[in-house]
Amino acid sequence: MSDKKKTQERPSLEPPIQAHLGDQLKKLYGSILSEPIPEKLTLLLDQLEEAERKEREKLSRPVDGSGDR
Amino acid sequence: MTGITAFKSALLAELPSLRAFAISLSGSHDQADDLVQETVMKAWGAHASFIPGTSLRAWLFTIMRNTYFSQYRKARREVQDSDGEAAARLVSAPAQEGHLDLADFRLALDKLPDDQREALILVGASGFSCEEAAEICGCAVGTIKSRVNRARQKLLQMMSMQNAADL
Repeated sequence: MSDKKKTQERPSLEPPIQAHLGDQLKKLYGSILSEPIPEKLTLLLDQLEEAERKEREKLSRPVDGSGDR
Repeated sequence: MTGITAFKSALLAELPSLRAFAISLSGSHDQADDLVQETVMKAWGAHASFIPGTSLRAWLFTIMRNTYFSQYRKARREVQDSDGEAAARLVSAPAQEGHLDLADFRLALDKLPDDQREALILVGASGFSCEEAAEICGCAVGTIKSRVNRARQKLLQMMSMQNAADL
């Protein structure tokens, strides 16, 4: 967010116009950021977590069958 | 166990940013979601190679970018025709005044060369420093700076031509 401190060494564009471009860009990007996340993406994460959990259980059981945790 | 859960919620928190970057790379919502999906799967598989304390977003963007350029880039050319449509969808959601301006901007952005648009978005919208953007793109910091510069110049040119045409 605070990355525009040192990078302003371009005298070619007048600041107001540059700021306008920057605003437009952020507005456009922000409109995408605020869109709802498609369900298939959150479901994918659930599936990945579930699969890994099972995988780990499978791996940990034979090594230390008696103890839980 | 907590490791997985923490990683999952960290990924979940980055999904909006990943989607936004994917849309700006691919120019289409549908393709973007496929790209995000693939990035998430790769990231999950490569979990162990993520260095805690470094930027997860930068790491994810790097994976996405590599995926995009190795598999998707050609497809962008193929769906170029529907780009205008995608751009319209992108900005049409809340129909309000001032969005016409934004739609014009989106179209102008789409006309930039891929490398310039990418640099501009990373630095100007995603909140990365030029150094981080350089790392994500695998190029020199100076290259990022000059791409951002050229992107801004070109946008300015396009936008001022539009304004002139409106008068």
